[in-house]
Amino acid sequence: MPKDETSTSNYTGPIPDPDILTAKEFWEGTQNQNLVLPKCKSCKEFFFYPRIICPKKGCHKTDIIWEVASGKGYLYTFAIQHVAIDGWKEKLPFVTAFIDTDEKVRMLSVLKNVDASQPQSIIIGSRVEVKFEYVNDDISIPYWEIINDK
Amino acid sequence: MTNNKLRRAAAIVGVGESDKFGFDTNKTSLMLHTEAIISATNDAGLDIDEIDGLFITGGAGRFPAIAMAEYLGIRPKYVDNTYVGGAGFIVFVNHAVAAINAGIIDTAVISHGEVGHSIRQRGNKGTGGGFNYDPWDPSMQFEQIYGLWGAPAYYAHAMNRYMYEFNVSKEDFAQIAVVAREWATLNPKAVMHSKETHPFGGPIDIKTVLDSRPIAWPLNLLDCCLVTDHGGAVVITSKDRANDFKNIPVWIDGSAEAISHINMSQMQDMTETSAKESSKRAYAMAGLGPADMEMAMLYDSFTYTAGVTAEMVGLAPRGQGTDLWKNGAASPGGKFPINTNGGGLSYSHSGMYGILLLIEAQRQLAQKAIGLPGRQTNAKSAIINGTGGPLASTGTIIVSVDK
Ligand SMILES: [Zn+2]
Repeated sequence: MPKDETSTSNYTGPIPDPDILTAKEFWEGTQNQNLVLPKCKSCKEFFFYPRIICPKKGCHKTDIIWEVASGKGYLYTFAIQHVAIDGWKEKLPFVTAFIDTDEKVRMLSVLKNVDASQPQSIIIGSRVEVKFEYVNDDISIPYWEIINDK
Repeated sequence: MTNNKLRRAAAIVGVGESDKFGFDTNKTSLMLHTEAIISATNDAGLDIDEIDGLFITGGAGRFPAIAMAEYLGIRPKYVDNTYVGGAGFIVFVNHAVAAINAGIIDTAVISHGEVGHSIRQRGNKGTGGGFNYDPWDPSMQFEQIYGLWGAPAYYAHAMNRYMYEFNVSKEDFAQIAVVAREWATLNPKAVMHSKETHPFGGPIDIKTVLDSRPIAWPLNLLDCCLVTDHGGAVVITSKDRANDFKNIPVWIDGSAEAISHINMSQMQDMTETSAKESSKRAYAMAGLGPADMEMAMLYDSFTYTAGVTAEMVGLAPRGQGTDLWKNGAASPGGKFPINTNGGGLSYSHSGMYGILLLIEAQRQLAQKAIGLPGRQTNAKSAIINGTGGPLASTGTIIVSVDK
C-alpha cells in the first residue's frame, strides 16, 4: 500500500506488539489493507485469534494456513464506551463492536462513522466492512464501518 | 452426569467478614483476609490450626494460598489457587467437596480479601504481586488495543445483544438494581444501605438507574456493581464433622463448575453463559431442580449478569429472566427472594464477589441474617451461582438445611 496518503497518523491508542510467531501474517496483511485470517487445512474452517492449533471441536489439528478474507461481515453486537483507557479517552464516546465476518470468525473492533449519541441508530445485524487505520510503517489497525450491502 | 455420592458430603459451618468493609477501610488485602478468617473460624468454633485445606484466589500476591498460610502461621496439607475470576469461590466449594470426599482434608477455609477501592486511591505502584502480561497474549494484541476499560466495557456488548434478541429493555434490567437496593435498605451493613452509609445510599427507582451516568451503553453506573474493599471467609467441613460446630450445617447438596472462554470474541452466544452447564450438573448431583429452590444468590456484577443467570439456572424461561424481579417477587417479603444482602450492586463488591454469595446464603439458611425486619427469609434451600471474568466462568452450588 502506498504510504503517501497515510503517512501521518492520528492514532493515539496502544500500539500492538505483533506476535511474529503466530500472528505475523495477520499484521503483515493489515499493512496491505487486507484482513488475513488463519484457517485449518484439515477442517477448512477459519478461526480467530491466530494460534497454532485448530480450536474446532473434533479437529484440533495443527496444520494452519492463511487466506485473505472477504473483509466483510455482520454486526453481532456493539457497546458505546463512555470510559476508556489512556489513548482512547479523547475519542469518548466511541463504539466498540463484535463483528462476525463472512468467514464465520468473530472479532472485537471499533465501529467508526456511526453516531455514538444515538445507540438506536446503530442496527445489530448490519453489513459491515473492514478498514485499516495507519499507525506507523509496521502497523495498521483494523476497524469496521457499516455499509449498504445485502 | 450424576454424582450423588458427593451430595451432602460436606457442609458450610461458619462464615465471616472483615471487621470493616466498603470504602476507605484503611486495611491491606492480607488484613482483610485475616480478619475474615478469624471471624469465620470463630463463627464455626474452629481453631485456626485445624484448617487443613486453604482455598484462595486473590488479594495475597502471586502465590495466594501459601502466602496466606504463611501470614497466618499455618501449614495446610491442601492448597488451591484456581483463578477463574469472581466465580472462584463457588468453584472452590466444588473443589473442597471433592477433596473432603476423597478423604484428603477434613476442614477447608475459602477466603478472600481485596482492596478494590483503596487500590484506586493508593495506585498500583511497586511490584505488588501483579502478573507480567505477555504483550503477545491474544487479548493484549487483539482486544485491549481498542480502549476497553474493565469489565463493563465487555459486558455491555452481551447485554445489548440480549436486548436485541429478546426485546428486553434497559428498564427491565434497571429493576434488578432497584430490588437489590430494597434489600440493602434492610441491611445496615450494606454499603448503600442509607444516606448515613453513603451519600447516594437508600432507596432508588428505575429512573435513578437510567439517569445515572453511562459507563458503557447499555450499562449505566447503577447497573454496575460497587468497587469496595472487602474480606470474607467460609468454613466447610466433612459430613462426619458437620455437627461438631456452633452452627447448624448448611449442606452442600450440589456443586459444579463450567467455563466457556476468556477472550470475549470466543463466546459463541453472548446471551448464554456456562451457568447453564454448571447448574445442570449441580442439580443432578443434588437430585433437585429449580422448583425446589426457595431463594437465589445470583452474582450481580451487572444487572445483566443476574438477569441472564436466572435463565441459565432454570429459574425463568429464556428472555424472561428480568421478570423474576418484577412485582415484588424477588423483593423483601416476595415469593422468591434474590440477592438478599443487597448484592454486588448495593451490598459490597471488591472486584471478586463470589465469597459474599456463600456468606449470605449461609446466613439466610441458618437464620442468622441480622438487620431490619424483613431481611431474614424463611428459605431452607438456595441456589448460588457465581460468574467470573467476561462471562467466562461459572460455579453453581445448591445448599439446604434440614427442615
Ligand atoms: Zn480444524
